Amino acid sequence: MMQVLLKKFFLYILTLFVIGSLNFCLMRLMPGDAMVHLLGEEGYAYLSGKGVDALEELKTEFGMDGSLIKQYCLHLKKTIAGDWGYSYHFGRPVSGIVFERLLWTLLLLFPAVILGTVLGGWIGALSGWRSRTRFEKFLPLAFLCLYAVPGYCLSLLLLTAAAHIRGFPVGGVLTAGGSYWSILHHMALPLFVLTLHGTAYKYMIMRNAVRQELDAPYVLTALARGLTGRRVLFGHILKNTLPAYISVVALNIGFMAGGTLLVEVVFSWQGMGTLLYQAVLSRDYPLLSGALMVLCLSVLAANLTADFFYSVSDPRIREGDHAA
Amino acid sequence: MQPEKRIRQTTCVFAFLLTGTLLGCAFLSDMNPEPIYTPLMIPDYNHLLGTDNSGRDILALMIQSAWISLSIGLGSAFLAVFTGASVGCIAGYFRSPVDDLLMRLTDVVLLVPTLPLIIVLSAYLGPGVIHAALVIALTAWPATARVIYAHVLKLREEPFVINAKSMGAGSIYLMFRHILPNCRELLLAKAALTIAGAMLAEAGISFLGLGDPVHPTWGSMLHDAFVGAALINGCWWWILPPVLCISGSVGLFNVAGHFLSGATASTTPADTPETFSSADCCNQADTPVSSLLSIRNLCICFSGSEVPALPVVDKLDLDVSAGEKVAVIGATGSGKSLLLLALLGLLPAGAKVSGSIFIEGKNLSAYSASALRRHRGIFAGYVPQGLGNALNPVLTVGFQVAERNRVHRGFDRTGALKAALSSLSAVGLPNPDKRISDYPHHLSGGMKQRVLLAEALSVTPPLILADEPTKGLDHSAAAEIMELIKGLNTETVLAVTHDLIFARALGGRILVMLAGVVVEEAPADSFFRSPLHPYSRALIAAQPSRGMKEIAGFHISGIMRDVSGCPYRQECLIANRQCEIRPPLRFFQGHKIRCWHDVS
Repeated sequence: MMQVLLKKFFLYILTLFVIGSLNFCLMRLMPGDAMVHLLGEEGYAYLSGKGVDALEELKTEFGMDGSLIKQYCLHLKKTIAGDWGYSYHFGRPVSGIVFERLLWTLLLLFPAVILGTVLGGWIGALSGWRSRTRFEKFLPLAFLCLYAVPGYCLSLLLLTAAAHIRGFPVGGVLTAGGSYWSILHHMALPLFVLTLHGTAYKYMIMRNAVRQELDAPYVLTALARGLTGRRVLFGHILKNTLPAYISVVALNIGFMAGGTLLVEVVFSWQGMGTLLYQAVLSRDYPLLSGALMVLCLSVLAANLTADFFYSVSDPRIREGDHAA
Repeated sequence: MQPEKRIRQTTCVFAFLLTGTLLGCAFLSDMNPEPIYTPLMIPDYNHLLGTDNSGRDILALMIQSAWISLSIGLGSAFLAVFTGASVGCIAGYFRSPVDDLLMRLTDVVLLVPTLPLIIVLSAYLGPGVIHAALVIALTAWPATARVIYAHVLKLREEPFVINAKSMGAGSIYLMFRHILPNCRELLLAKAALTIAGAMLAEAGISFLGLGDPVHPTWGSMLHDAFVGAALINGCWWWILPPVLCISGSVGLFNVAGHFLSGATASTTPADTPETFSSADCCNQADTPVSSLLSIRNLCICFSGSEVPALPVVDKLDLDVSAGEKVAVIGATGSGKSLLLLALLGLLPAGAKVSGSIFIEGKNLSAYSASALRRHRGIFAGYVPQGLGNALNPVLTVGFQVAERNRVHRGFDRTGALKAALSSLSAVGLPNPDKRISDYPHHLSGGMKQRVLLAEALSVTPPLILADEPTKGLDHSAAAEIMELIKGLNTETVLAVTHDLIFARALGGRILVMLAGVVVEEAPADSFFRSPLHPYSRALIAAQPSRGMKEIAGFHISGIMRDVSGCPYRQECLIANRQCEIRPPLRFFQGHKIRCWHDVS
């Protein structure tokens, strides 16, 4: 089991390394002045306004006078040390901004993933178990349609349908002087949209997984024991489908994160989504790279957690024995 | 419908729809969406969808955008699927070290959150239709690569590939002529899903304002609407069309993908074996016999493709009194196992049952759901085959053996485990106190069979229903299981088996089934000494101890599955015209046989 986890961990480190290197390549090798990429458009304009000396000083600080390899090493060193550059748009170091904003995104993403996983898994399992009834044949189609509507489109529809949904603010994180309740109040609509969308996908995964298990001999054995359908489904079948379900859900977190970013923009939620939006508008390149890095980090952390859960939940994997 | 046909039809429909849309859009995009009208007009007769804040006609804009959105989606999906297929194919075909390198790369790209990466890349590259397509393709290929890789790994061991290789086919030739064509269904399904994903991604980045301002797409329409404060002004006609277009097209390609990959296609629905479909119980007039178990005129058939549906079990009568041992023998597909499931009320849904089953004089079809569960749990102990996953792979042996007592006898955890321990040692499982916390994959086939037996016996049910208890076990393990079942003195045993040695050792009565029909019923001693029905004779003669003589007709292919005549008439050496009519079950020399002829 440790070996499997270590292998995965190595893969995650490799992924971070690739993203770090990608950032370097984008900054130095893309057409245009590398200094613009390193400082962002605003920063470049501001510094060149101050005179040539300031720019020259920074060039030596970034190691621009050395070879590409030397620059690359310096870049990696800085990345690991958490020095991800300075955002002139916000007037603060990038790492500070991104971690602050990440918290707000996680505040939305984390409950959405948990709620979607539980709800989708629950409805999907029941629907897979009763896949014969007419209603259960209609339900997958309904969820498939729901899944096709991107989160931000769903939000826009919601907001258009009821231009002022009574009692719910249409944007922002909290009203001035608001308490924790105010945050919850503002969270409600975006969280609803994200959960709904996440549930649709997980429903389909779980439903198919349960349907595939129905023909397994152990289901017949369990039924022949005189157990209730509920007990067979939740005590026997679910225990078998859960590990694979969790790993699919984990891989989906990256996709969910992308959806969250767009929904944030619609509701002007002050998280990574709006940050990326502002960074794109102001061409704040260091901020863009930092945001990508931190999003990657959080998605990988989620995957690592899921891997751990996966490997302890199935006795065959826990003991490193893949034979059925 | 055949999968081949289904795929071809869907593909045709989609190709047609797509070409139509593209041509239509290209033709219609001549309509000038330039700002020449009053801004923010509500839809009316002249402007079916109204105008936006710079006075462009939204319908015209939407059609122009369709062309670009679809092109980006199709273009990047084509690139992504092509790259993914090549990578998957090369990695799967060449294996290590190319395999390791390419698949690690795939894993890495698969792990990076797609949308942020696309946003960052397109922020550096700048707007442009080609740029967008390239960036999306760059992040979309790994999903295809993974699937194709897994498929190629299977394909490369197939005989036709090895055959082609042995004839000197080169690697490139093999990949493009033999391997990739065999992935085409998979590729088609993946392509549809990739198009959906690509259109979704394009709409996403355009919505953020990273789209090409010269070439509007549905996403950038939404961006304009959002930035233009359409929400606050309540301009629903500006928001609705692009939202519907994006969702509609993504949904369409998603459904196509799922349909092609057969994820939602229900050709043979796996049904819950929950319902005992008690169809017309025609023979209610039959007085219940006071024996433990009596079956009257039991017919089971499946409403399926065959018209009219042929019965799998046909007009079966059986009485079993308490303490009796009955072995049902016959070839695969003779309906033996279904008989056991019918006794548990666990026939697969879709099975049509007529006739009646009386348990201690009570009709099974009159049982309530909870009574039926009690019947399964406490009255009839079902022993499935130990082969395969008859035990749940993720639950401990102890938990599974204890479950009956916990559910039906209300034992607590420790009490049930104690009972499980004693029944496990009763069936002679070595080290039961250690084994109780083991998982099924730790056990050998013989041990699993013992556990299953212990599980059924744990509540000391009066009736044991065993489904081929010696199948797949080696000689000594089978002999031990045989001894265990033979040693059950008070329990009534109804066992279904191929194993003639086991049937003989069980003693009691033998029931021979052929194509759902009982052809002979006799005491075991007399049956093995002198089987009477021609089919029974063939069966006995084919035993290894009898020299494995191949008597004509021991082939399942020659068995007639119809309701009119004797099922054995085609292979039978003594069959004549009379056998076209099904013989009744009649007494002859102490046996019950279903044959017109007085064989002896």
